[in-house]
Amino acid sequence: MTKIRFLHRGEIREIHDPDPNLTVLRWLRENEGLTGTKEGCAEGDCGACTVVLGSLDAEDQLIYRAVNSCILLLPVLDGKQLIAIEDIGTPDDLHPVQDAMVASHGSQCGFCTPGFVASLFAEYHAEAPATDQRALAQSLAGNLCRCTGYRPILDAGLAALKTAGKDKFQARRADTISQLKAIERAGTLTTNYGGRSYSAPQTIEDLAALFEASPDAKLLAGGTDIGLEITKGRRSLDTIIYTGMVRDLTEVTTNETAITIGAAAPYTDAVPALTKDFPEASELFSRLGAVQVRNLGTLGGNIANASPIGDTPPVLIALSADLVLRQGKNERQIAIETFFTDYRQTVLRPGEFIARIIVPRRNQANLYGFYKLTKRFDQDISAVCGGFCLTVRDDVVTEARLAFGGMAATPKRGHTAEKMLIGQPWNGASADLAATALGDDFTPLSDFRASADYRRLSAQNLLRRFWLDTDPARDAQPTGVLDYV
Amino acid sequence: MGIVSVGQSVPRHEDPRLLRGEGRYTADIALDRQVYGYTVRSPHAHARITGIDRTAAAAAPGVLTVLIGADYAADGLGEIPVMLSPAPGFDKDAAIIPPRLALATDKVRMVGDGVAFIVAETLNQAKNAADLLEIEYQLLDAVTDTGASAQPGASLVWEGQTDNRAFTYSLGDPQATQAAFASADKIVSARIEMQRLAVASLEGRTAIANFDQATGKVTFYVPVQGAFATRVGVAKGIFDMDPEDVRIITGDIGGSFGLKSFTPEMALTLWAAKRLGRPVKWVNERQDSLLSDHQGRGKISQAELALDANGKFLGLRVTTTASLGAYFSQMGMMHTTLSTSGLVGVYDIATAYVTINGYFSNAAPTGPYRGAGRPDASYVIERLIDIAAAETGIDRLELRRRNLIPASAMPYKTALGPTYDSGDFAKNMETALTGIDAAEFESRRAAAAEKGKLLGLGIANNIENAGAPGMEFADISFDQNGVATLAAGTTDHGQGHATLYSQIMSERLGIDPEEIVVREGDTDLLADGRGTGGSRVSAMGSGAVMAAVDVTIVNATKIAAHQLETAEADISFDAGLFQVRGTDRTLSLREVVTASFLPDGVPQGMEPGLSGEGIYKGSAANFPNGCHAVEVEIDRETGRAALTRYVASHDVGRVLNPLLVNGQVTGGIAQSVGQALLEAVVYDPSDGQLLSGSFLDYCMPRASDFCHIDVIDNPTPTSANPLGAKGVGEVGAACAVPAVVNAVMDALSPFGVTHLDTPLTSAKLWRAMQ
Repeated sequence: MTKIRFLHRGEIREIHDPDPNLTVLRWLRENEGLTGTKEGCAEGDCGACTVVLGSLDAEDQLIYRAVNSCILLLPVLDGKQLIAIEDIGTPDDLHPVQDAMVASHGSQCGFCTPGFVASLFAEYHAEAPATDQRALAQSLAGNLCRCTGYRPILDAGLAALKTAGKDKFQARRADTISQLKAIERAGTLTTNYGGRSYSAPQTIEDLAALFEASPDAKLLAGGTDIGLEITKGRRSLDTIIYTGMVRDLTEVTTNETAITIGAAAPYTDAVPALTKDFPEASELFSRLGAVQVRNLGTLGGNIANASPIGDTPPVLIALSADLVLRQGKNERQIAIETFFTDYRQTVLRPGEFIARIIVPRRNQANLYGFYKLTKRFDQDISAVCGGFCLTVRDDVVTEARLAFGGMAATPKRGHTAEKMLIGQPWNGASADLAATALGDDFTPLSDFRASADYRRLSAQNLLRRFWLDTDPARDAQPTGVLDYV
Repeated sequence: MGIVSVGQSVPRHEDPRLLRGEGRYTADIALDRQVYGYTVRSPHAHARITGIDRTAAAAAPGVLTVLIGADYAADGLGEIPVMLSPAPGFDKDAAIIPPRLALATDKVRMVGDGVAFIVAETLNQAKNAADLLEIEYQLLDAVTDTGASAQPGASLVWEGQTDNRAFTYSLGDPQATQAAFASADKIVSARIEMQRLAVASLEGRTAIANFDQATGKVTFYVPVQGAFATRVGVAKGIFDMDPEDVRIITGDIGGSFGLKSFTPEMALTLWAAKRLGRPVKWVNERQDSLLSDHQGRGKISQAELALDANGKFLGLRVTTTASLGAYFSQMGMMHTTLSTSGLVGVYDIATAYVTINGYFSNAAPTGPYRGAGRPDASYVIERLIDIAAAETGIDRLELRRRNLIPASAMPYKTALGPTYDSGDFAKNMETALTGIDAAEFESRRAAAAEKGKLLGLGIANNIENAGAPGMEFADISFDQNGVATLAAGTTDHGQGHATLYSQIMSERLGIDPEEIVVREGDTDLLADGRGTGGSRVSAMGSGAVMAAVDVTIVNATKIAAHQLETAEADISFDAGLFQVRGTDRTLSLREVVTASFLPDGVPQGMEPGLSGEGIYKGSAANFPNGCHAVEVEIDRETGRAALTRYVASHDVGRVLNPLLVNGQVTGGIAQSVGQALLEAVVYDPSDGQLLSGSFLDYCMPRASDFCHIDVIDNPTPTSANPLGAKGVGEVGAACAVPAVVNAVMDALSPFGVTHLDTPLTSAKLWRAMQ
C-alpha cells in the first residue's frame, strides 16, 4: 500500500492508493464534501473549478499556480499544496482579494466566483502581479463570468493586487515550505487502485525503465488532454506514468547555443525562455489555452499528442528545434519536423518518450513570425497556425522554414513555398509568390473549425502578414497584436 | 453595520458567503441513498423512433432503471407545463400548442431531444448504460434555420399542419398605419435578424427529487426562477397531488437570465425518484446544456418606418418571424410577444402595426433570455432610425431629437398600448452624448484613421415595461433574540435581493441588517410567491417587503399599545421607537419583540411573537429607459471590433442601491456585447447538428473584451410603486445591442454598408470592408 501525501488545509493529507482516474474536482466535491469549487464545463474552458497548487521550485521557493481541477488527476497532488476556495478566507478573515470583490460588487450569482477568487489568489502570489487591466484580463482569460461583465472583478483584482503578497499565506510561507520539504519523495511513487496503477518517477532513468517495462502505459504530463479522455471519454486509464516529477524533464536551461526545455516543463516555465529570444511568439503563447491550462500543459505533451492543430509544433519547426527521444538507456536526437508521420502518428517507438526539446538560440540574421488564427482571441483552438523563419543575407533569402498547423494531417512545412523564396529578396512580391505556392504544398480539410478554402486563404495571408510585420519600411506594430483598452 | 437606508451603496450581505465558496447550489447537495439520472438525447434533428431495445442497458452494472417515453405515457404523467398568457389580446385558441411529454415517444424533433432516462448508482454507470441503449431511428428532413422554417414547403416539425406556423399575433392599428405609410414622404425598411443565443448561465440546470415514501410528500431541489409556479407544475401538471405535498427548494442559483423554468428533465427526475423510492439527482452537463437548454432571441424582423419630409416619424410597421424551436418552453410565446410594445421606443409615433408569426423548427426551444423581447424591440427601432438617417441625410442624433417624446408629454399613451408615466428621454440622450464626449468624436475618428483604425460612434435609446401588473408576497417574523427573518416569494439568482430587502427593512424598522435574515426560494416559507423575472423585483418584491413591514409595524403597534396601556392610535413609530404621542413613554422595537414572546405580552386574540405578512398588488407597470453611447474601433486589417468608450445613461427611477444597479446594468451590457459581436448558436443547415456545442465553440466574451463602462443615473420619479423604483435587470441589455451595432455600422459607413446582422465577428466585418 502506498500513500500519496499533499498539503491541504494546513495539514499533510495522506491518501492510500487513490483512484488515479479521479479528478481533484470530484475528490473535493464528492469525497471531501468541499463543494465550494464548481463544475461549469468540465473541460477546462470556464475556470469555475480553478484551484491553486503550491509547490517548490528548483530553489525551494514556494510558487502558487492556478489550475483547472476538473482535469487534474488526484495523485498529481503528491508533494504539493492544494488550496481550494474553502482555504482562502475564513468567515472572520476574508482574503484581501475577497474583500476587494465585496467592495467592487465582483460577485453576482456566485457560481463562477470561487474560480475567480482562486485565480486572483494565484495572481496575488505571482512573482510580478498584474498592475493594469490588460495584464489582469489576460490572467483571468481562463475564467468565464456571465453576470458581472468582468469590470467589477478586474477592479477588485487591481485593488487587491496593490497589496499583493501580504496575506496569511505569505506569513506562513516558511512553515509551508518546511511542510512541503517534509513530504518530498525520494524515489518513485507507485500506487495501485483496483488494477489501476499510477507511477510518478523522479529521475529520467527511472522513467525510462518504467516505460520500457510497460510500454502500453499512458504517459501523463499536464493532463489537459488526458483528463478529458477520462472525464468526457469515460476511458479508464489503467497504467499511468506521470512525468511531472521527473527533474530532468522539468528543467529549462539556456546556454550560448540553445534553449533546452524539459518535455514535462509546463508552458508557464518554458515559454519565458522561448519568448526572451523570440518575442515574436509572445502573443501566440499568451493565447495557448489560458493561465490554468498553461500552468499544467507542457511542450512535450503538445508535441507527443501529435494533433495537427497543436500550437507549438509549427513554432518549433520554424525554429529548427530538435527533440531528444529516450528509450531505456538510449537517446536519439531528431529534427522535430521528422517526428510526425501521419495523423496522430509519430516516430516514437514502444517505451520511447520525448525527453527534451532543443531550440537553437536566435539568429540575428533571421526574421521570425508566429501566428495563431482562432475564432476568438483567448482560449481557443487554432484553425490555422503558422511558424515562419527566414534567413536573409545581403537582401536575399538564403533559408526559409514555413511551418503550418491545421493544414494537413500533421504539422508540416511548405517546401514548395520555401523554395520559391530562396534566392529572392524578401518583399511583398516574394510573399505573394510563396503564398501562391502554398497551394501546391497543402490540401487542407474542411471541418467545423474552418473550411478548406478558409484555411488555404488564411495560410497564404499569414505569409503576407509576415511580410508586413517584417517590412523594414513599415512603422506599424505587428498586425497580430491587438490593441486593448 | 448600523442602520442603512434605501438609496445607499450597501455592499452585498451574500458576498462573503459566496466568496468563500459557501453558496449552496443544487449540484452541491448530496442526499443519502441518492442515485444519478442521465438523459439519453437524440443525435438527430428529426427522426421517427422505430425501436428501442433496452435489454443491454438495463442489465448494465449499477443500472436501476431505463425509462422511455412509452413508460411516461403509460404512467399517465402530464405534459410539460406551458404558460399561455403571453400578451394582451393573444388568441390562445388559434395557436397550435403541441403536447410535450418528458421524453419523445414516436418522433424526435431536435438534436438533444430526450429519448430515455437512465438511473444508476453512479453517473458514469448511467452514461455507460446509455452507450448500450439501442435506438433505431428513421431519419426525416429537418429544418433548423428560422427563416427556412417559415418558407412554404419547409419540412414540417409537427405533422398534420400545412406549415410550421404556431401562431400569429398582431398589435396596433393596421388601417391607421397603412394610411400613415400612404401619406409618407419617405419609407425606410430593413430586414433585421437576431441570431439564437445560448443562455449559458455558469450553473447549468439541475434537479434532485426526494419522495418521502411514508407521507408521499416530495422535496424537490431545483434552481428555478419561480418556486411556487414550479410547485403547481409538479403537483398539477406532472402528477395529481396536493400542492401542499410538494416542497420546492431552489437554494442558491448560479445565474438564470430567463433559463430556469420548468423543463422535461425535472419531470423525469421526479418520476424516477417516485418509481425507485430513492433520491434521484440529475445535473445537465455543459454540452447537454448547449443542446437542450432553451435559447434566446432567434427572430427575423421586416421593419418599415414612415417619415414626412421633415423627418417626423409617422408610422411603424414590423412583421417578425420568431423561431420557437421544436417545442414551446415553459414561458410559451411570451418572449416573442410580450415586449413588442417597446418597438415604438421613446419616440412619438402616431400609429404602429406589428405582427409576430411564431414558427416551429427542428432546433432547441427558444425562451426568455435577459430582456425577453425587450432588446429585440429596441434593436429594431434603433437600427431602423440609423438607416433612416443615412437614407434621408438627416443627422441620426437630430432625427432622434425631432421625434423623442418630450418629458412634458408625460403621461404619454403609445400607439402600441402602454402609457409611459415618466421619463426624460432627451436628457438621457444628451447625458450619454456628453459623457462620451461626442463633440470631440470626429477628431478622435480622424486620429484613429491615421493608425489604420475605423472609429464609430453608436447611440441607442430604449424603454421597456417592467414590474407590474401582478402580486408578490413577503413575510417578516422575529425570533426571541430580535432577529428578523424575511421570507420572500421572489428568488435570487445573483441580483442581491437579500441586500436590497435588508436595506428596506433596516430603514423602515430601524434594525441593523446584521439582525436580518433573508430567505427565498422555498415554498414552505410562505404562502405564495411569483418569483423573479421581467425586472419585477425592484417594484414587486420591494413592494411586498414594504407591505410586510407595514403589517409588522401595525402588529408591533398593537403590542406596544398593550404594553404601554394606551390606544394604538396614540402610538407613533419612528426610527425603531414606539412612542406615546406627546409623552416620553417609549418602547424600542427590540423591547416590543421581547414582550411579544412573554405571557400576556400581546393583546388578547394575537398570537405570541411579532410577525407581518405582506401582500403587494401592483397594477401599473413602470418604464425603465436609457440611452447608451458607444465608441467602437475596428481594425481595418483584421476586422476586429473593440469597444473603446461606453456610457450608459439610464433612468431606473429611484436608485435603491447604486452598487446593485450598476452591477445589473453593466452585466446586462456585457451579455449584449456578446450578442452584438461574438455569440451565435449555429446549427448545420444540412443535418440540423448543433455546431456550437461547447464553450470552445460558443464564444462568450471574456475579461479582455470590454472597455470601461460608465453608468450614469438620470432618474425621473414614478408613482407606479411605493418606492418609486423602475426595473433594472434588463435595461442595460436592451439598450446595448443597438448601441453597439450602430457604432459598428457608423465605423463602416465609408464602405456604404448600412446593416449587417449580428454577431459582428471579425470575419463578417472584414468581408464587409473588402
